[in-house]
Amino acid sequence: MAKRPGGEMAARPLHFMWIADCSGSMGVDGKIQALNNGIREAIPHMREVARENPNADVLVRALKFSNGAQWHLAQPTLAEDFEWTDLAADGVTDMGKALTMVADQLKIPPMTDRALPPVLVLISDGQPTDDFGAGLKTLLDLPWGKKAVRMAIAIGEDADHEVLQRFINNPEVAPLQANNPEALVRQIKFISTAVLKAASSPPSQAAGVGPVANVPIPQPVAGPDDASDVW
Amino acid sequence: MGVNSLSVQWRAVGKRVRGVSHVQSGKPCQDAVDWWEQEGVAALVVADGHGSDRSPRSDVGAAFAVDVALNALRSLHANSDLALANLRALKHLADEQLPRLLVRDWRDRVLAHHAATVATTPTTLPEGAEGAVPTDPAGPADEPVSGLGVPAASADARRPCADAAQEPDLTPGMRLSSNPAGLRSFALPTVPGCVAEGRVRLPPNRSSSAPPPAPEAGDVLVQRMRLSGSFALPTVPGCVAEGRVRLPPNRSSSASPPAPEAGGVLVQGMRLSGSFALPTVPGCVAEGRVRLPPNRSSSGSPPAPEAGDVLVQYGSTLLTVLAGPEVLLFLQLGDGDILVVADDGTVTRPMPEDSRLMANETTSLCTVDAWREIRVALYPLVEGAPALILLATDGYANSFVSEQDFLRVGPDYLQAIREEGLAAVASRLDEWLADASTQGSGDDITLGIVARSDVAEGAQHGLKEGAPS
Repeated sequence: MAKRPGGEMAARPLHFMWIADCSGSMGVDGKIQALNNGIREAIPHMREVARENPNADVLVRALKFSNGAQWHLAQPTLAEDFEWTDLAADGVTDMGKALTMVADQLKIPPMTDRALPPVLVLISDGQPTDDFGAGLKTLLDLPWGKKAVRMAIAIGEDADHEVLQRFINNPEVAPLQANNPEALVRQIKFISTAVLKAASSPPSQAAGVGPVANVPIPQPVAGPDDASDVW
Repeated sequence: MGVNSLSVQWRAVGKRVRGVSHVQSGKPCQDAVDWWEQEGVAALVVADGHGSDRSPRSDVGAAFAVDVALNALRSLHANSDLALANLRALKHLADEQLPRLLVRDWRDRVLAHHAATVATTPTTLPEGAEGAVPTDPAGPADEPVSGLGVPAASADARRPCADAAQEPDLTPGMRLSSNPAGLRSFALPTVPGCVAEGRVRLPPNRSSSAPPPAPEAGDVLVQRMRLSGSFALPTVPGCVAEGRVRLPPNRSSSASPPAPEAGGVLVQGMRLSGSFALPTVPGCVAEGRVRLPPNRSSSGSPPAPEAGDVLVQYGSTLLTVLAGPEVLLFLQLGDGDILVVADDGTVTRPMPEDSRLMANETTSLCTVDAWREIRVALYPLVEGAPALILLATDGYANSFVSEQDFLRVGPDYLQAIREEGLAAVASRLDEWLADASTQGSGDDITLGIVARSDVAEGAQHGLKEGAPS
C-alpha cells in the first residue's frame, strides 16, 4: 500500500521578535526592569497560545538596541522553550540599526514563503539616534517586512510616537502606550496573547480590498485610568 | 514529456477536506473541486474561498467558481478544436475571452445569490455543510453555456427575490422595493418573456452625491426597446451598467443584441453596455437592481453594500486545467499550486510565479479587474503528454516543511497511481489530505488529479468517488 505522498510535514513557522530599546533612559524609573518583568510574566500566556494552535510553531527571538544593536536571543526558540534573560540599559538609541538587523532575518532565505506573517514588537521610550528611516526602509522593502505584524509600545511621554507609527506603517493601528509598570505588563501581555493568536491563524483574504493589515489586529483592552503614571 | 499526444486521453479525480482549524473554529470547508470527462478530454477546477471574516460566503463563492469554470471549459471544448493546429485561436480565447467570461459569470452568480439570500434571509448565511455544493439560485450547476462569452441564464432563478409585501407600487406596472439590506429592486413586468438583468457598480473610491432617483414611468422607454431611465443612477463618472439580455423561450433574436449606440449613454459619465440594448422583441420584461452608495439610503432604508463589498463576501481563488489530446490549458487566479508531473517523476510548474501571493493575501475573483490577474498557460503537447497534472489549494503546500518536500507529491502520486490505479488513490485522498491538514497547515486542503488514462490504469469509467457530495 502506498505511503502518504510528499516529504516531511510541519506546522507553519511564526517568527515573533522582541525589539527592545536598551538606551540609557530605559534605566530611569525602573523602565528596563518593568520591561523584563513584563516579558517574563507574558511567557506562560504566550506558551498557552502556542499550545492552542498546533498548526503554528511560534519561534521567539529578541533583539536589543542602544549603541548599535545585537541579538539578545538569536536562535529562533519555540515558545515552549522560551526563557527570558534580563536586559540592562545603557547608551544611545540606534533603532535604525535594529531594524536593519531584523530585516536581515526576514529575507527569503532564511525565511520561507510558507511561514506565517512574523510578529515584530518594537518597544522604546525615546527617539532614535541613528538613521531610523534607512533601517525602516530596508525592513519595509522586504516582502516579509511589509507583511509582518508590526506592533509598538511607547514607554512614557518622551517616546517618539511618530517614529513608532512609521514603524507600524498602518494608520489603523496605533502604538500602545505604557506610562507605568502595570500598563507595560498589560501591553506586553496583550501582544503576547491576543496579537500572537491572531497572527498564528490568519485567514486568507483578497489583496487590496480589505484593511491595510493582512492580519486583523485585535483591539487592545483599555486599562484602568492610572493616576499612578510615572513615566 | 511522455507518450505520443495523439492517443492521449485523460481521467480526473479530486477531493477536498475540511481543515482542522476550520473544525475548531466552526467554519465550513471553504474549498471546492469538481471536474468533467468527455471523449477523453478532462477539465478539473479547484477553488479556495477566503477565510477572512469579510468573506463569510466564500464557500459558496468557491462552489460558483468551480461551476462557472467547468461550464466555460465545457463550452470551449464544444466549440473549439483543442488541437495544435488551432493553437493561435486557443491562445486568443484563453488570453482575451476566457478570463473575462469566468469573472463575469462568477460575479453574476454571486450577485444573484446575494440578492436572493438577502431578500429571504437577511441575517442568515446559506447553509454550507461539509461536502455540499450550495444551492445556486442563478441556475443549475450543469447549465449549458450557449457559447463562449454568451452564457445562458435561468430567468426564474435570476429574478430578484424581494418580498412583495415591501414593494410599494409607484407607477402602474412598476414596483420598487427595498429589502432589509437596502437593496432596491424594481421590476417592469410589461409582458413576461424577455428578461434583462443587470446591476450598476459605482467605481472604486467614488460615491454618489445623491441617492438614486426613483424610477418614473417615463424612464422606461419600452417603445424603443431599450432600458434607459431605470438604470439612470447617480451621475457619477465611471458608473457602469452591466447586464445581459434573455429572450423568451419561444423567441430568438435575429441577431445578437445590438451594439450600444451613441444614444445608449444615459447620463453624463455613465456607460451602458451593449447587452442592455435589447432586441426588438415585444413583451420584454426588464428587471434591475440599484445599489445605493455607502452611508446613503433612500426613504430610510439602510445603506446597501456596494457590489464590490458583496463580491468580497464570496471571494475565492480559482485553478483550472483543461486537458485535451494535444493541448493543456491552465488558468489560475490567486494562490494554490499547479504541478505537471512527467513520466520520470520530474515536476514542473506551468504557471509563472506570482510573488504577491504570500502572507495569506491573494489575488481573487472578487477584486477589481480580477480577469486581468488570471494567469494563463497553454501547453502544446508536441513532445508528448505528461503523466499527471495536480491542482492543489495552498493549504497543501503550506503543510510541508519546504518546497522540495511538497514537490515530492508529484513522483509519489505517480508511483501510487501506477501501483494501485487512480481509483484506489482517490479513495485514499481523504486520509492523506486530512493527515496533511492535521500535521501541517490546519487549513482546508483540496487536491485534484488529472491523469493520462494509461497511467490511471484500473480506474473506473466515470469515477467520482472523490467528488463533493
